[in-house]
Parts: sequence; structure tokens; C-alpha cells
Amino acid sequence: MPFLSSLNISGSGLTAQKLRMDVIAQNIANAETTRTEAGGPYLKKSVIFTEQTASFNSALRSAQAGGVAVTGIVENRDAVARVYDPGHPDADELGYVSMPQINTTEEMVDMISASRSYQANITAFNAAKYMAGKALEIGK
Amino acid sequence: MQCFSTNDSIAAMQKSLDALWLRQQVISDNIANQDTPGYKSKTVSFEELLLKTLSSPGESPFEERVLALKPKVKQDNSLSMGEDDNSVDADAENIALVRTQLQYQAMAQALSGEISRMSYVLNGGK
Repeated sequence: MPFLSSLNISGSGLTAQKLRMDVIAQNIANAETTRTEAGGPYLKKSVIFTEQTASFNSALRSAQAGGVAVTGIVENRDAVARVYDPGHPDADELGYVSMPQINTTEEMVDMISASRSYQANITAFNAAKYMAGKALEIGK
Repeated sequence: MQCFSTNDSIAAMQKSLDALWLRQQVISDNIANQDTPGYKSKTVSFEELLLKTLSSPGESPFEERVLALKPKVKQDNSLSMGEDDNSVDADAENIALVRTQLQYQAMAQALSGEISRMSYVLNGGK
């Protein structure tokens, strides 16, 4: 068992939550974006979390730590709303604009969830650090 | 009733420290995966195994039997807290984390005490 692999586990959680936060920020920032490189309006993105399997029973020997990883960022192709706004430069001949369908409230709730998960990982990280410190004090 | 030697108690404490460390790792993993769809929380069982070894007399010395103990990691398949089939209860994990931390501290202190008693004897009570 690698001595401090639990720090890596918590670290992977921090990285994953941070990336989730970045994606949420990107969604909010582009809530009104009608032009993208790929053409069409901005599409709502979300992260995919996947467990990195750690075999804890064999972890006493092997160096495989567990944790979590973001294995993809997917776009929701259906998240497009048709809004009537004839004055908009991207309006079609009928006066409708394809706008990103991003629910700001939903994004905010997601952001709170990511922030809380980030905090929980920091708590776990500190616990591991504290315990390692105690182990180093044995016999003093 | 068994008679415990210093080696026996040091072995038991050493093994407990290892098991608590493993539990802390498993809890960290649960917390890291609290938003992973389909993830099932894991627990470590060790105390029951230690108690069994303590209460049943065996052929080999106690120290050997304790050092051969292997803590088990179990996956909890029964519970599902949310829509995403994830079974991590964040509050329960946090409480378990704090408990593990305190148990580890207590065990490390007990081990230090045992070692200092031993060195007291080795130094002729000085």
C-alpha cells in the first residue's frame, strides 16, 4: 500500500470537481452565445465522472490507487431553444434565433453541489495528512 | 484467558493502525466518488476479525495469528441514495472519517506509550 495514496484519491476528487466547476462556468458564460466554431449556438456541456477502480484487498501490494476521473465532456445536442427576435443578427427569415437552452438556476445548483463536493474532498485530504502526521510521531 | 506479551499488543496495535489507514483510504475513495453515477460505497471490516482472534485460542502464537489478519473491503450493493444509483451518504462518510481519524490517533498514542514503557524498562527504570 503506497503510504500516501489516499492523498492522490482525494486529489483526483478535487481535480474532477474543479473541472466540473469550469464546465459550469463555461455554460453560464455562454448562455447567450449564438455562434460557435462548429456553427450554430453554444450547446450545454456536462462532465462524465467514472470511478477509477482500486482493488483495496490487493492494494496492500500493488500501487494502484482509486479515486475518480472525468472521462469525457459531452454536449447536449437538444439544448437549443428557438427564440423570436427578428432584430438579432443571427435571426432566420422567420425572425427566430437558435439560442442555447441553459437553465441558469440549474447551473447554480450544480455549482453549489460541485463546491460542496470539493470541500468534502479537502476534508478527507486533511484527515489523511493528519493521520500520516500521527503515524510519524509514533515512538516520540 | 490468554496472557499477552508486549509483542502481542504491539502486533495488535500495528494491525489496527493498518486497518484504520485502509478504512481512511476507502472513505476518501467514497467521498471522491460521491457524484459518480452507479458508484457503490465501500466499507472496511476489521474489528470483528480481531475480536474473533482475541476470543478464540488457536494453535499458533497470538502474534502470528494477528499479523496474518487481512481487513476486508466490502461493497454495499443494497442502498441507493439518488437517481443516479450512487449509494454514498456524504454525512455518514464524514462521520466515519472523523471517527477513523480519532481512533488512529488513540492507537498511535497507545503504541507510543507501549514503546516508552519498554524503553523505560530497558533503561533500568531511569
